[in-house]
Formats: sequence, structure tokens, C-alpha cells
Amino acid sequence: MDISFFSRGIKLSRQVTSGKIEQIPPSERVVLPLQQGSGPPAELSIEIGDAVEVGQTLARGASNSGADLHASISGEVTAIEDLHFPNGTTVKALVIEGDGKDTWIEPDRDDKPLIASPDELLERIRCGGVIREGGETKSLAQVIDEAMSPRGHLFSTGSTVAKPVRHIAVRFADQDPHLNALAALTATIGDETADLDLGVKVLAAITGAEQIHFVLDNKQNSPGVDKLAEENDYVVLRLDAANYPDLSSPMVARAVSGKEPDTAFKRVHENGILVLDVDTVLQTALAVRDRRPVVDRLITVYGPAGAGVFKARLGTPLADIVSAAGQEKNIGKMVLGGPMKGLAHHTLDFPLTKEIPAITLFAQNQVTLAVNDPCVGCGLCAMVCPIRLTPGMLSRYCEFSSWDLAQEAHLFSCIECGCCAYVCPAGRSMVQFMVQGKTELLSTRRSES
Amino acid sequence: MTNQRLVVSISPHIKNGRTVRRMIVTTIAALMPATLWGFYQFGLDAVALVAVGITAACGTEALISRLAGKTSSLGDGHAVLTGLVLALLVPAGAPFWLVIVGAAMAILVGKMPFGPLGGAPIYPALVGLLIVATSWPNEIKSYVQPTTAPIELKAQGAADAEFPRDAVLIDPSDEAEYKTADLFLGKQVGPIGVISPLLLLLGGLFLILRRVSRWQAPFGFLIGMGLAAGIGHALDPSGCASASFHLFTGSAMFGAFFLCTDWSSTPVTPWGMFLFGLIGGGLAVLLRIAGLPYGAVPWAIVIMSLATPIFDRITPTPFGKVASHA
Amino acid sequence: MKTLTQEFTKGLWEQIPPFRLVLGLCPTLAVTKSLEGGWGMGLATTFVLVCSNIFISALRNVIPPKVRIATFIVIIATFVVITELVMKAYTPMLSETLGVFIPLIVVNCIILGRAEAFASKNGVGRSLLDGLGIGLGFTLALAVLGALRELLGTGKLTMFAQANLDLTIIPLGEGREFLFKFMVDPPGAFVCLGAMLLLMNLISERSARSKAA
Ligand code: SF4
Ligand code: SF4
Repeated sequence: MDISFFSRGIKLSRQVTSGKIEQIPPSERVVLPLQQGSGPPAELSIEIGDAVEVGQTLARGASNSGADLHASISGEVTAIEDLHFPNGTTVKALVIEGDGKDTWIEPDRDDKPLIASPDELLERIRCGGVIREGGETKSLAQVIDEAMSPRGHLFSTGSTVAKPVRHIAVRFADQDPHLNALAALTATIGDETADLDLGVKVLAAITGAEQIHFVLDNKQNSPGVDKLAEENDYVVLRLDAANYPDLSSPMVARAVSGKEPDTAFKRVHENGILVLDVDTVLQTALAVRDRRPVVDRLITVYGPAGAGVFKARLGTPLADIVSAAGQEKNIGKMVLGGPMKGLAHHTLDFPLTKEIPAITLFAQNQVTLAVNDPCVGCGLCAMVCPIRLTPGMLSRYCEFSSWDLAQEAHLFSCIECGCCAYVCPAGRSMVQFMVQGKTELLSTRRSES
Repeated sequence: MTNQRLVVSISPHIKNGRTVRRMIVTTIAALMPATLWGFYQFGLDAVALVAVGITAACGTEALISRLAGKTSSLGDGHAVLTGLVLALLVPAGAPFWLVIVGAAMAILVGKMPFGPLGGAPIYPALVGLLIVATSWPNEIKSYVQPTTAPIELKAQGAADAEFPRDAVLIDPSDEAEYKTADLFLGKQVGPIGVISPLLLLLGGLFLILRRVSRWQAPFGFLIGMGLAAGIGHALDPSGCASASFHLFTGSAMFGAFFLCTDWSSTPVTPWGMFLFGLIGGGLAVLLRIAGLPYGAVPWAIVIMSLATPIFDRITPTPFGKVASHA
Repeated sequence: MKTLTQEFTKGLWEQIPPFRLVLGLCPTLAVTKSLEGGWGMGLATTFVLVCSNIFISALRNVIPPKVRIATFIVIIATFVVITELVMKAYTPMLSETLGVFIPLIVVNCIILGRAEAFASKNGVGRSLLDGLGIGLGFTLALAVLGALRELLGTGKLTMFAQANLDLTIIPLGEGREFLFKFMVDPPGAFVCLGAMLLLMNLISERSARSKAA
């Protein structure tokens, strides 16, 4: 049964894969958007026509909180073009035509990174172009910055007292049980936990976190990680990934701190809890020790022909990845991300970016269009909502433009997990209503102030 | 391939396949055991009444959709459910026209004016039932002797005097003559579909297990009835029958599992549902003791339904919010 | 400006009080258990309405605006008392049927509404016609509603109980009092009123469409 009596959220089935990570060879042409995460776009630091090597910096992120952008193949920067993002924005993107040699730059290695100052470490993370995804996609440097000095938000009282980061939670499985990238990565880590160890220690050194938690799926077998945790007094937490969204950031934060973070306006990491995916931690380690920037990423491809985990260079056309996964036939819908939270995009002609954790594909006959009937008041959504809202009511408020009522009913606490829409028998586009309501409220507030 | 246009929609991109229609069909299926038991106890009259009820409800709905120029909503099965529930709540001896008027009123007054499914503030079948019950208080009490009831039904003409309370057919002082087990197993006099607490309980639990309904309202209702009847019985044994008697007679079980769990007319928040049931159960016992001529349980639930928006305000504290005293 | 005839006829359809203005609903719902109650109430209201309209429009330039509502009420109350006493004297049975709703005409929003919106701005002649039109419209609406409910509820039509002018349209069996009791119960009033509103809207929609076509 998809709804449990004992816990909120919904039961999804775990997708099984071979657990291997397949490498996709560098493609001939990559497109790299300057926009990474939700901050300002990076600023170009090379010229069109320059020859670049893999790992060479192409653009610099904002000085304290951005992330740099690096070439993911060697070749020549040929153009800047407009790229349409699935969220409706258009950003500038660099095009690199490859020379097929795949030559890498040689960064200076630093074998003892931990003696560097926190500011230096943070700078290296920024230069390494590390992005945190899972939750809100942002550069890791910005996330850490926000976690350590929470700024006043639009609606909050605006206290700016620096808060120490108390917990860091490292997530070893994807939030959506249909995806496997992190689990596969954890499996390949095996006993070689040096990178993981370093990454965690670097983050702890920067933030001064008191406790590190390793959050795993309860089906995951990871002796190496367990051992590392034991040696360093980290807490290992096993949650049930099949009980979506138990691995989402607010739920993990509750599990590690025993306190529920407020999900409205304040991001979870501003409650003193930093929830990071394991690949972010590994990228951090590479960035501070080897000075190796992020040029590729791990991606789950989940579609009618099953699921697989791939590693591909950033900027690779998604069509290439999809055909490498053998799923190119008969596609009716493509989702950037998992089936529960991903954004649908209308074309495969889109590059792999740092924000895309997965590609979910649906065959033409699997695509169902929203019914969006009126709410019948069955209350299933209220039973599953992990935030304990009454989504049916909220959706009606938003449907009939009663924005203030929606806000009173804690619309902003909604984490857009999609559980309510998953169970709704009337087929309502619940998340659509929630997002619409939030947007509407935020824009009226903005225009008022 | 790269120019192919793909479908774009909001997340989530998968659903569990629940539909309104399927949930209604499940509800009808859960009612089947009790219905069949009613058929067995009351024979062909009961079959005919149920058929007439369903036909009348569907016919009215089709007619009104047609007149109003709306696409017919017959497909979701709600009209069938309405007709069925209505017919199950009247005794097998009731005249056909009673059920027809009831079903038509249920759809005409109880359902259609409130727009699409999910608008009705009161369970439509109850609207129909109470309209006919208040209009024809004698006909609604045409109880029939069931095939296997241990008691002799007293003469028809005396119906009013003998059966003053809902379908609590027996004077509380007679209680000793009946075995609680018999009542529970469905050997009692009453409306067609409600005489078997056992089968209704099973059907109700099935619905809860299929996540079509939640446990809070039904169990709240049963607890409410049990408590109220228990207290009443302790205070005045001759004026109020025991808790088990109240729970196993009349439409108590039916009300708890199939009326308190309606969608639009009952609350959706956990405590809201529970309190709705609890207070409704207590109210039902009070109405029975007060000697409401017919349908204490339906009346109690209708009255509670009107307060549903209030119960819906009892929302749980959202994630991460401090419980407020408001 | 409307012609004098229009001033009169508008009350019969265009602005027929309970259906179009949706005013005066409590007497509409409460006394329409029978045809007799319907027209009785309607005529009583008409009388008060016409008289108060005449008086108020005649005095409209004398009444200080600040106390106008109080003044209106005093004038209306006067006629209500007259009506009540006359009815008690000459039609005791009808007076019994209508009960408290006759004194309650004082607060009937139709009357105060016409006083405020019409009589205090128009001349005596117009006010008289307006009051008469609206009053008769109200009577018509109440009588139709009363007849409908009574017919469906009991199968009878009480023309004037005092004169024994009852018609039995649908004969009922021995010892039965009601045909469809729900209709004469208070909830039935709402349902009937709703049905009438629906009908009115349908008709005017149709006629608007045919005019447009
Ligand atoms: S209301 Fe928001 S948080 Fe609750 S289930 Fe729906 S999407 Fe998730
Ligand atoms: S699940 Fe859908 S139909 Fe049911 S209450 Fe929620 S929004 Fe309404």
C-alpha cells in the first residue's frame, strides 16, 4: 500500500540497478551555462576563440558565494549562445568544440589541505565550482555562507546574529527512491574512504560543526562508511528511503537534530543543520586537495528500459546520455530530476548541468495528462503530507485566489514534495497550485514593499 | 530526435493510479456483504428496492446533467452509491415510490445544486433519506420480519408505538430477551442494509485498509456512542440501553463506517475527524434516547456535517512550527 | 425616466421582490405554507408599502436627513399597527395564520428599501405606483410560492379559510394530512425558493437570448 498508517509521506518502491557507474566518453561539443544554481551567473574570464584544457576556469562566480565554471573537455570556446532553462529563464552558455585530445590542466596538489585557514578552504570550494543540489540548488560556498550568517529573508524578522552550524548530515542515498546515483557512488567508495574522510573534515573545519551524521538508506550495505564513522565518532543514521520524502533535507534535519526545522522561508541549513549529498562532499575533497574542479557529474537515467547510473562530462547533450543508456526510443516526456520532484523539459536538446541529478524518461504511452478535477475532499492528501498541512484546502485557496487564506494555512511551509498530488484521486496538480500561490504571494509582497 | 517536442507538466510525474471512480467502486464493493445479507434476510422485496433506488438516482442525475447541459458525471459511480446507500437505509417493506422520491431528492437537493462531486455539505443520500423520513413517518417504518430473526415482529399497524427509536427496534427494557451475539451477527429487524454489524464492520475495515477512508471518524463515532450509551445506561438502565445494544442496532455501524467517512461532508484533519465522530456518536445516542421518530444516526451525522468546516479548522501543527494556542 | 406605467409594472417582473431583489426573505420563507398565507401576507405588505410610500414621499422635504430612518420606521409602524388591528378584527383566522409576521412587516426590508431608495426621492404619484407595483409583485410571488408548496405538501389549496374556500386538488387517503410534508416544512421553503429563482433566471436568460438573436 502506498500510504502508511504509521508515518506520513508515501511508500515508493526502490529502483534496483546493477550498482555500477558507467562512464560516458567526453563528447565533441559541450554547452556550459554560466548560471549555476540560484545565485548570480558567473563572469566570463576567457575570450571567445581561446583554446582550453579540461579543468580550465572559464568563468568566475561571485566573490564570496559563487562557483567557478570550468571547461569539461579540451578544445576551443567557439561561441556564447542563449540556453532556455526548463524553469522558463534564458541564460548565456559557452560552447566548446572539442579537439578530441582530452588534455587536462595540471593543478597544484596540496596534500595537507587541513592546515589551510577556513577562508582559504572556502575559496578553494568556490574555485572548484562545487554546487550543492538536493533541496535548493546553490553553490556550496553560498550554502555554507548562509548557514553561518543567516540573513534576514523577505518575511522573517531579519535577525543577522551569526549562528554556528551544529550538524552536518551527509546523505548517501537519493531522496527519491527511484534514483540510484548516490547509492551506486557509495557502493563504489567501498573501503576507500580517504576522500570522504577529507571532505567531511574540511566541511567541519569551515563550519565548526559539532556533530557529523551519515544518513543512509536502511537497505544500504556500506562497511567502509560505517568504519569511517566509527573511527571518527560520527553518527550513522539509517532511514527508509522507500518512505518518500524521508531523505529530503527537512526530514533528515529532523532525524539528526531531533527537532523539526521550520520549512517556511528559512532554509534548513539556516537552522544550523547542513544536509549534503555524498557526491558534494567528495567534490569538496577533490577541490581542496587535488584542486580538481567539478567537470563531470553522476546521473541516474531512469526510464522504461530500467535505470542506470552514469558519469558524464558537464555540458554533454542529454540526447547522448539517453542514447548511451539505451533509452532513446519512443520518448514522450523527459524530466530533469526524479519523477517526484524533477522539472519536465520539452526537448532533449539540453546540456547536462551541475543541477541535474537524474533524467527520468517516459515512453509516449506512459505520459498521462493532468485531469485536475475539483477536489472531492477525500482527505488522502492531508494523510500523506509530511509537513502536516491540509493540501486539499490549500489547493482550493490557491485555485480560487484566496492567497491570504493560503498563507494563513502555512502555504510557505510546503516543500513541494508532491506526495499530495501522488495520491490525489481527483488528479489535481497540487504542486502547481502551491507554487502558483507562493509566487503570487511573493510578488504582491515585493510590489508592496 | 533532438527537435522532438516532449510533454511538459508539473511534478510529480508519477501517480499511484487512484481515481475517484475506483474509490467509489471500492466503497460499493465494501457495502456488498451487508447488502447481500439484507437480500437474504428480506428477500426479493429488498432486491427490488435497491434496484429501484439505484435506477432512480442514476436517472435523476442523468436527467439533470442533460437539462443543465453538463457532461454527465454518471461514470464516476457516485449516483449508484447514493442510490444504494439510500435504499439500504430504508426498511424492506417501504413502498417503491418512497425510495424513488428519496433517491431523486438526494440527487436533486443533496448533490446537484452543489456542483461537481466534492461540493455537497451533507451526504446526499442522507438528504434524500431525511426528506422522505420526515415527509412520510409511517411508511418509512415498514419493517419486515427478517428470515432468521429470533424475535417476532409485532403487528405492522403498531409500528409507531412499538418502535419508537431509530432502528433501535426494541424497548430498552426488553433488552434481556435478545442476545447481543444475535444482534452482532445480523439477526435483527431494521432497514435493509444495516442489520449486520459484523459485515458492515468488515466492509468498513476493508475500506480503511484500502485507504479509502480513515479510521478516525468511524472509531471516534463508535467510541462516542459507546461512551454516551455506557454513561446513560449506568445512570438510568431503564431509559437507556447498554452500549453494546446501541452499537449493534440500527444504523450505528453503517453510520460509522460509511456515512462518517464521506468525503466532502466530513472533516479531513486527524483530530477533526476524530472529534467529528466522537461528538456525532454521542449526539446519536442522545437523539435515540430523546426518541427521535426515525434515523437518530443519520440525523446526528447530518447535524455534524453542518459543523464540518469548524472541525476542519483543527489542523495539526505544521512541521517545524511551534504549537500555537489559537 | 420611466413612464408611470413602467413605474408600476417593474415590480411585477423586473424587480419582483423575493426573486429579483432577493429582499423580504423571512416572510417569504415563513408564511408560504399555504396559498392563503401567501396572498394574505402579500396584501398586508402592499397596504403598508403604499401608505408609507405616499407619506414618506409627501414628507420627504420636511424630514431631516439625519433622522430619516427613524422617521420612516415610525411612519411604517403606524400603518403596520393599523393593518394588524384591522386584520385581527375582520380576518381573525388569517391573522392567526400569519401570527408574528404581521407586526414584523415593520422591519421588512422591502418597505424600508423602497422608502429609502424611492419614496424619499420621488413625488407622491410615482411613489404610489411604485409601492403598488412592488407590493403586488410581492403578493404574486408569495402566492405562487404558497400555492406550490401547499399543493405539493398537502394536495390542497387554501383560498381563504375563513370563507371555507378550500380546494382539494389531490385527494389524500383517510387520516392522512400531508402529501409530501417536506414541502411545507421550513427546508422545503428554501428548496422551492431556489427552484423559483432558477426558473426566473432560466426564463429571463432565454428571453435575453431570443432578444439578442
Ligand atoms: S502540500 Fe506540499 S509538502 Fe505537503 S504533500 Fe503537498 S507538496 Fe508535499
Ligand atoms: S487528495 Fe485530492 S481530492 Fe482528496 S482532498 Fe486532497 S486534493 Fe482533494
